[in-house]
Amino acid sequence: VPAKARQAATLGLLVLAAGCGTPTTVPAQAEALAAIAAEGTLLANDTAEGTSLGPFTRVHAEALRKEADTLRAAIDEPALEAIAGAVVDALGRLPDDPARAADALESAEKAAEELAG
Amino acid sequence: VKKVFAIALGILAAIGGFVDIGDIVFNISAGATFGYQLLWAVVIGVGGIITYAEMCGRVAAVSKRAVMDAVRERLGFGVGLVSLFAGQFVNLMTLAAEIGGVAIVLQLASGLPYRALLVLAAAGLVLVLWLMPFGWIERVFGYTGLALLVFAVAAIKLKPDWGAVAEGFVPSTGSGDLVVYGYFVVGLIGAAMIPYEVYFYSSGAVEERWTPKDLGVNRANALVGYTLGGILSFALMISAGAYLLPNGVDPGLLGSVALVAQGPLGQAGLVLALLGMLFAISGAAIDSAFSAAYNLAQFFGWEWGKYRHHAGAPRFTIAWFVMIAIAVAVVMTGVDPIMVTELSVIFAVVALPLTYVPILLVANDRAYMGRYANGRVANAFGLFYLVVVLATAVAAIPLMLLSNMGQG
Repeated sequence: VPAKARQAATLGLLVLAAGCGTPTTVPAQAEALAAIAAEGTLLANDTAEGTSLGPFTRVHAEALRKEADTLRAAIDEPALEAIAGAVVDALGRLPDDPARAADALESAEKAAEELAG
Repeated sequence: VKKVFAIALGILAAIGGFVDIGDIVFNISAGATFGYQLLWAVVIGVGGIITYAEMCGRVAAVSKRAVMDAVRERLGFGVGLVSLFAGQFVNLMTLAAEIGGVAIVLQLASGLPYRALLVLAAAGLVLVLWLMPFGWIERVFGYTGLALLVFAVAAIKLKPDWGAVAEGFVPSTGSGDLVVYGYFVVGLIGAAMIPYEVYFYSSGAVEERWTPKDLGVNRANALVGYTLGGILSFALMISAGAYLLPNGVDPGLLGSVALVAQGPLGQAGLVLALLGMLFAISGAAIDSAFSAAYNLAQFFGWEWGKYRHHAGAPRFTIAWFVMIAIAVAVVMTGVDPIMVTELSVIFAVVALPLTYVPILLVANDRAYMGRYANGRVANAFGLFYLVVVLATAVAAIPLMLLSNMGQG
């Protein structure tokens, strides 16, 4: 295998191994969580208004829930971890109860933004 | 009239076929992070692909040789081999990202399991490549990809600050994190100039048996088609800047892209966005699978081309089939297709000089091109973009690491 291809593959693995894309500081984690909650709020509002489609709502809410759950696993700060838990729960019930999920996600977004500073 | 019609059809196909998963991911993320400030980087990238697509289409029409063929013949085995390895590595990553992207869009539309849809997507691609004539593939996926124009409608409906949009076309250092800004500049240029596009474009010119008489069609396709295709990129960035940025959303999923159309346009917007993404990404997957097979066949001197049918070019057919199989195996491991997309674009940027420098050299070779060699204008643009390509190639990996893949 040529040296250039080896170097490219190694760099790619290094990037993946370093967990590039996952925030590590509390403000960055709070910002990332607020962004997930904000997106969840948009989805929940559209669903509550009947302007989304069932499969899209279910799949996208689940993808956001997994992102929030991954982020929660990386959080050490207790207050932020509690907010992350609330976001995960709200996204889990979003397809069945979008209006309540929207309220919960909006509150979580504000709380996370306060922690982000 | 027939010729004008053919040009118009080619341009339409080029518009719909311009956007792939890399363009979608980088334009939406750039819009959600920096608003309209990075529109100028799309202009730079579109200018680059126009410049080099026109060159390699001209080389194909005059010499009947596609990019990898001409590189091998004019620049020798060693340079050709390095170019081949770099091109194939990027093609494979791009193909893996596109197939994963097709499966995600299908999942968003149907709710079915992702891995089953990966297999379905790959089987669908193989069937299309096996059964559909070249011209039909190009047009069907190009035309249906035009559904992405829903993002232009969404952008208008969102009533962006058009003054700020206009300012975005003027190059600037932006406001906010400079390293993240630089990462997006590199990504947007790389996504627009991704190498498989020129491999596919030049091989397609040979497939369609272009001659010097077709140089007008080549120029029109490259200039008008890619320019109008760039409008889709602008629409993605503007709609994300007007909808996701004010709402504090940092899009990391393909579903976030569809949300940009659903928000202002409701269910119709969502359906058109999913349809456009499905066909644009599927079309790009076909292009990159073919590009990988074209490169191998041209480098090793195998028979190649869709017009030869499968029995006439068996190693070419096996090559695209194997590339799809490897790409599916990559995404089956569970790696995130969006992550693969970002990595494929950044590694494509690193490999850009290995694709574009040989094209510039061959297009300049008067012994090879005769009176169709680059003139002053083509060389001025070619040299400008050579500097752009070299600068972005050097900066790509450091910016990716320092910006935490654009996360800051």
